[in-house]
Amino acid sequence: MKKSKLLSWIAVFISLFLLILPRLVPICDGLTKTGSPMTCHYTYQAEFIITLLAVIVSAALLVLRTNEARLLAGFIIILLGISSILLPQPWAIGICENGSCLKTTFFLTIGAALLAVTGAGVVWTAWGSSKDS
Amino acid sequence: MTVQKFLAIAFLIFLLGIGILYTGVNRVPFRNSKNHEHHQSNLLTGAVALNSSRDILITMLTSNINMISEHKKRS
Repeated sequence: MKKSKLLSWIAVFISLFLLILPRLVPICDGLTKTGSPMTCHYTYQAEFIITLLAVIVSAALLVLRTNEARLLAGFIIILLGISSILLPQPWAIGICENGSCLKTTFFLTIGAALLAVTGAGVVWTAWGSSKDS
Repeated sequence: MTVQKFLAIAFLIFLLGIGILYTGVNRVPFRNSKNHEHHQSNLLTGAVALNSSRDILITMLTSNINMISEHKKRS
């Protein structure tokens, strides 16, 4: 298997893992006194959309043939990975101080960092191939 | 697979994902929502069981005492 194809499959699997992460490691399921969901609920709703986009862009790497397109897709995967890490930060949306969402965020940060590294790998391989051709 | 076909499938997957997000399948259900059944704590269940068994014991003892006193009256 070519290196670029392997990186594409790795990106797809990491994105799918991040997509189902709140099911595997549940976030806080309680409501506040006013009856509204906690902050982590909104963070992980936003995370779902970002990881859904990451799944689509990662899957696109399996279809795209030109180096420019692969370069752009890899770059977008890096940005999506960084966005996933930043959303639980208190200055973005944030999570609860003492909730089960802390554990989810731990795994999310690791997964999103790996996704960003994989995107960087895709950019690296596409960059090298475009220089050669 | 062509890029056009991939884009069509990707758009459908995106719409499906938004539907999943709307229905809340992507996360665990809220604990104290109206549709969710509240489970009784094991400690509470134990306390209820203890109270009911104590009541039964008291009833049995008092009925025995009554029976004994009636027996004594007869004798």
